[in-house]
Amino acid sequence: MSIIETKQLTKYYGKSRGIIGVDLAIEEGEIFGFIGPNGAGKSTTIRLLLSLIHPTSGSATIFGKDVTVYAKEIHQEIGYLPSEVFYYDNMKVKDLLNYSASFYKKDCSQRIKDLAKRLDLDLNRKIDDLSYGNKKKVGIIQGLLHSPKVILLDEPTGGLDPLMQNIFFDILAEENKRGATVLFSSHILSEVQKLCHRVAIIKDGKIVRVDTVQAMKEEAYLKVSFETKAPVDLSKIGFDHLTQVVQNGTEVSFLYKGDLNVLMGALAKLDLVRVNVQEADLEEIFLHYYQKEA
Amino acid sequence: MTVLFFELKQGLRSTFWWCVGLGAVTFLFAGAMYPVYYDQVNVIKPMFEAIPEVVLRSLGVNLDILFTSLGFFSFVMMYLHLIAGMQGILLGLGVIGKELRLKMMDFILTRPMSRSQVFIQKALAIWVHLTITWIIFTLIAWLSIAGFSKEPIDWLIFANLSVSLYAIQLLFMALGALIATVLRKLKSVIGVGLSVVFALFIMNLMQSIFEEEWLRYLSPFQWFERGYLFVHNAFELPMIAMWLMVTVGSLITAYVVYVKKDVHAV
Repeated sequence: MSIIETKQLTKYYGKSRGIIGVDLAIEEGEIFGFIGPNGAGKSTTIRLLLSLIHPTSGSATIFGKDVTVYAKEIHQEIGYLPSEVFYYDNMKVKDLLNYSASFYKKDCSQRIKDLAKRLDLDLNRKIDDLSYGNKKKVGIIQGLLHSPKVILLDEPTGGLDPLMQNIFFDILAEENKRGATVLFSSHILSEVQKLCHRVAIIKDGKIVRVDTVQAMKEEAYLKVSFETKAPVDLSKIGFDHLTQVVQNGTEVSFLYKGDLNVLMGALAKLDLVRVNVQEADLEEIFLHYYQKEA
Repeated sequence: MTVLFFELKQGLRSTFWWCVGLGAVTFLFAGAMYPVYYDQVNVIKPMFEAIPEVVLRSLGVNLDILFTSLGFFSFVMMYLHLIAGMQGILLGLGVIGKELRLKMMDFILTRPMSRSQVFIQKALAIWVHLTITWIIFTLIAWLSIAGFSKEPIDWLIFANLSVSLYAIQLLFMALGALIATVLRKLKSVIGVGLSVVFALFIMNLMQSIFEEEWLRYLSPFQWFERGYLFVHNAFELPMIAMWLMVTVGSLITAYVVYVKKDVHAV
């Protein structure tokens, strides 16, 4: 039995689409990435799992229990970090965290101290005086202080500097090692790739692909651009799998999918002025999905 | 009981100040000022009689009963009702709508507690705050009137007047709770709360001026009409029915909406 499962989960906001027929099965102990552009339906799916909104049709279960009927029991073992965090007025960090901890049937005081130390957060400061990044740290601790079995993260890294992001990812990896299942939504492919075992891609409210990160990496698109001293005839170089080719005199750019060595070998034969090879960003990958469907 | 204790603690300071405010107005006007006013009754009464009746009515003055200790208290009650209404609606909006205003609905509704429990514990916390305020108000009013009165007091009328303040507190608390649950966003508790209270208070004044019977049903401050209380020593049944319907109806609707509604991302 999957620890998180949705069947034909559908949500409409009046007439506008939230998600349509989403089927997901996330196994215990997985770190599952959920990627898609803004408005694709990531937050809608997570909010449905948390019973913050109610499905139009279909069903969702966590620990095999319906998320709407057993919300209270499920929340006992769930940690959640939203993309934006807000807090009560005039409260110290420790007051907020103690309040949050008081909902759970366990002593979380040591864990709060440990996490605050890891994230370099002063528990005695007033939340109103904290920077956005530090408020986010409060959110992280608040989501993890009760050692939840399932951690739901909705675009959680905004506001964290790269160093803190790394510490946060380390903490998540440790939580996962402890046995926690993580659902991580993001529109940044690289952070999902860094952490997740499997990934679902959502577009226009529908899941377009679920696969392992490894399989996705093997198919990853590269964004290549170069400039040569004289114009080149691309058809004669022998590149395969090119999409979105733009040639403007001596300047060429395209998306490439295939063996990197073949690409580099072909480029080496050119009389290059400049070359730039980078991973295609998510938008470009989605563009590829649009093209495939058209 | 986590939410209950949290809300009780969070509201302590505010309840203290409401008690001080309500208590001070009660003591000053129903107690300390009454002897001065009573001693000057021969001067003041003709002055009041010279004022057009419609103006007196809009100020809540009833000359038949004004020149007794309880009558003067009942006049002051009109403004005490207004204060009680403010406290009720600000607590209803502020406590039930706290997470809505602070964009923290995600926080409170992802705790291991059912929405029903969250709502009931919040409502209980408000009830405790209102009840504490009411008890303290009643004690101060009783001591003030007993201490300064020049004539024997009909304590049943006093009790009815006191209960009417509690009823106004509860009614406006229920209205506040209802508004807090049906709104998608709540930026200012004071802005929304005071607008509603003053709108209904003005309706009460309009009713006093125009004396349209049907208007009484729309202005909650009229539901505990002090003149009727004095004459009949009881509340008006149709008005009690209105109070019951609106208070209980608002609370039940607020509960159902709170438990069922979709909480959208902010």
